[in-house]
Amino acid sequence: MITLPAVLVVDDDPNFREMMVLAGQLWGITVLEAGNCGQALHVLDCEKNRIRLIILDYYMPGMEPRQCAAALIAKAGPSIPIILATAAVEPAVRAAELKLSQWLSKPFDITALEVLFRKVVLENDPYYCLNIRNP
Amino acid sequence: MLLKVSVGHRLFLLVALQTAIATILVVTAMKYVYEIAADTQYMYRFQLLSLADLGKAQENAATLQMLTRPDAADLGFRAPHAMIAGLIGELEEFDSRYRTKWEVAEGTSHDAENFRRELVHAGESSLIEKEKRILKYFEDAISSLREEEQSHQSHIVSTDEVRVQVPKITNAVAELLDVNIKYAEVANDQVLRRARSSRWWLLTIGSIGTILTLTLGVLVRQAIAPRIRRLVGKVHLFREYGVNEKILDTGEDEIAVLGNALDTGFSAIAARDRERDQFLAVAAHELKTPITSIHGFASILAAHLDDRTVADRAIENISRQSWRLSRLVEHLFLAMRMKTGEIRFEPTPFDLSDLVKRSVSEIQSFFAGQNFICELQNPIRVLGDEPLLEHGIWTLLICASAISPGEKPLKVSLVSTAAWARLLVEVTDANLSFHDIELLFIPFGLVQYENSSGIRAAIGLYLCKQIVKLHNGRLDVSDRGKAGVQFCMELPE
Repeated sequence: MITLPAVLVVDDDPNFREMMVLAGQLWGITVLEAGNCGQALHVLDCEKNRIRLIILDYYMPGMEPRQCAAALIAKAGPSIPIILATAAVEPAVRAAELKLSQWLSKPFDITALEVLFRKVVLENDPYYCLNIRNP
Repeated sequence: MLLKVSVGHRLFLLVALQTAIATILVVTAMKYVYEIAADTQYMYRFQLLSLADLGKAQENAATLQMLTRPDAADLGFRAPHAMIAGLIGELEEFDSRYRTKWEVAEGTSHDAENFRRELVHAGESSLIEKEKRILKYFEDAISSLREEEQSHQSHIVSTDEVRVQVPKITNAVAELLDVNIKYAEVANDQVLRRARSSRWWLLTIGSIGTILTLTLGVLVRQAIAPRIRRLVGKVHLFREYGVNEKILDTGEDEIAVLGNALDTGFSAIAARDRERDQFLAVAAHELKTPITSIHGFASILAAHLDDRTVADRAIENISRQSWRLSRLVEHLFLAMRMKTGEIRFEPTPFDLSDLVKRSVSEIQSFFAGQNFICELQNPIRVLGDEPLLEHGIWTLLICASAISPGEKPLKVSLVSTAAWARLLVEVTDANLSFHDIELLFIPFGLVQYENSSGIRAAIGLYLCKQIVKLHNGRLDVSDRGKAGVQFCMELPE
């Protein structure tokens, strides 16, 4: 069975997840979704080998943001980059709280997101994430 | 201790001390002015008048001596007996007057007794003895002369006894004058000493008073000025940089009261600032969330206009998110108006069951994964502001939906009791701690997490509670354990 590389979107806003899934379909990239941290950890358990990138929201039900990020970082390991996508006022501060060095401030430019997805997922270039601050 | 004394009392103490010092100075000055005046009077009465009378007596004695000289007739001095007797009489009167008014040695007047003490004090007591001796000498001479005058009548001028006694009288008066001049010198020294003493005391009291006043003034200043400077510094710090440092004045006086009032005021302003910042942060977050979806779907739509399925899906999402955005803005606006008490309330009678039915129906279309079970008694008429209550019911349903796991339906029931219309919303399988319930009622206190239908409840139940309160109603949330959470809104019918 062929497993396609994928992006995991962890966000409690179903509209956002729907938009990311639709965008992924149009770009030919599989987008897995999780509505909270528990679901994300479960998806990671099952699909870790094909997940190339995690897009993580800050405020979500269930775990505290720091606990959630720490659990995801621990489970994903260093090979899967995690990018914080938040509508919070100070995304850099939020990212630092979660010990994440890349973030996206909502709303963001979807074409830049397409480039990010293609580079990291299709071209398997996780270091491209280092260019991400607020595309 | 000093901090407990009020500023007013401190200033009163300062003024009281200054007044006391001024009073002491005035009283002391008056005392010494009185003494100087008394000394001046004494010098005139006891010293100068005696000298003047002695001068007159010396003149009489000299005239008598001249008229009784052996060669008086040769020189052309012819004195009638009456004139000689008159001169002797005047000298007798002087003796008597002197002894009564100015004698120091055995005088009994107040001035004589005081001056005697002063002479002893000044080491001039020999003058007293001298005066005593001269007066005795003078008295004896004048007595002999009087006896001679009475026995010889008109021949008195030529007697030997007269020629012996008259020079004695002249000498006695001259010596008495010398003694009195020395008396005057001693008295003058005493008066000058008293004047110097007065000056010294006035200067000393004035200096001590000035030093005391300055010291107390400095103490009052030290107790007040640094604290006022500190207050001004804190005000400046707060005004310029928004830093709210506690003033912490431990005193109990007016400055401490002012400091505490400033602390309270600044804390209130800082709390409002924090609340405003929190509101802006929450508002920005809440507004940016639907905008992200709208922006994303709009970009997809622009890139795939020819794909009907994608376009329809994007448009439908944009439409839903726009509506969500509009509702959110309204709720944020209303919540802010509620907080500042600027809300308009226009009650009219209407059917509450219709409003609940309509609200559930509208919300349901946006809650794809959430089922609602409605049991509404119909009709239930209430007097209220329908548009406001619509917002209230919306926020209540949104909040209930936000804490619902989404697997079981939300039960919405409306019943009429004796005087109340009661709306119950039951959320099965939801758990809320007391702290969570408290948070629900804090405006902008937290960002509620989205439920499965994507509806946020950022303003919690604050808006709902305020609207119900405006209608004289009640809003309660209770955690019923395994039965879940129940929201109960009661409005007067």
